[in-house]
Amino acid sequence: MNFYSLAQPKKLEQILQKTTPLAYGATLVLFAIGLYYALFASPVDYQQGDSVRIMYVHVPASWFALMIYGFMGVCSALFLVFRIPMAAYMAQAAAPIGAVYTFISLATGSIWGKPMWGTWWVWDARLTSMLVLFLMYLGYILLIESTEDKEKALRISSILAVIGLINLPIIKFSVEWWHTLHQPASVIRLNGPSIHGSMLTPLLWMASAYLALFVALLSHRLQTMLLGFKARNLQAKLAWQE
Amino acid sequence: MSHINFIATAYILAFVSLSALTLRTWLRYRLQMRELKLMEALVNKSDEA
Repeated sequence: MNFYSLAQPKKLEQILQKTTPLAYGATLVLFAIGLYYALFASPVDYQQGDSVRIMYVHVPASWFALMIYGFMGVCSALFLVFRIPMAAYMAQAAAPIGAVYTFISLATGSIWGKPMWGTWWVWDARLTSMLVLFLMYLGYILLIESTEDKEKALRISSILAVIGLINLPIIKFSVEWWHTLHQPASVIRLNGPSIHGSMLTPLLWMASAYLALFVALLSHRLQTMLLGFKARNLQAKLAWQE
Repeated sequence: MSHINFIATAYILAFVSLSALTLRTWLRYRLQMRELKLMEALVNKSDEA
């Protein structure tokens, strides 16, 4: 199997039929392990107390909110440069998942902020750039849903996704470039993670669960899209016969 | 457990959001599958006629 075979709907469909149930199963197992570590087996933070447990749902959601947008940007660029329609459909299938992950990141971050910072929200560089990411996701989805000409919608939304990539380094380095209330990175750093292993373990289990769920949902949504193409082909055949 | 209300709210909110997205994805798949089956039946009927 080479890279280009993935762009063929038939090959892709065969892969997706195996991937979807496996990824859903992995999600359940990984969330069960992750939740056990996050809620029971991990220690209380000496400053944050039990509120540190909110980090185990917040941080992986934030990582994947960024990574999914990166994935969408790369897929959209592949569509624009090499004219591979399946790449644009992958970006389209990933967008609502990324939007929900970003929503979880913003909402759980806000819930953590109230007891820790004393406020639900501040117009801090990290929080604001994450809000911009959420709006980028919504804009992308609305553009596709509201444009009648689907080919035009794919082209314009792909351009929007590629332009939006600029926001990713801004989010990542916002805590270093500006003075922010949000703490700097403690896991994805050049010098290695600075958090204790007992807190890194639940974080990595939960991140694996979020990743497995992303794969499951992406695969399931692509299967739905492929079924839709088949149904439209049959509809066209029926109209032609009549 | 300190701040139990905040922790519970964060976890419930996250898992309700993820479950809603999963349910919506599954429902859309089922609906699309039903539409495809309907189309296949109509095409077969038309071919026979």
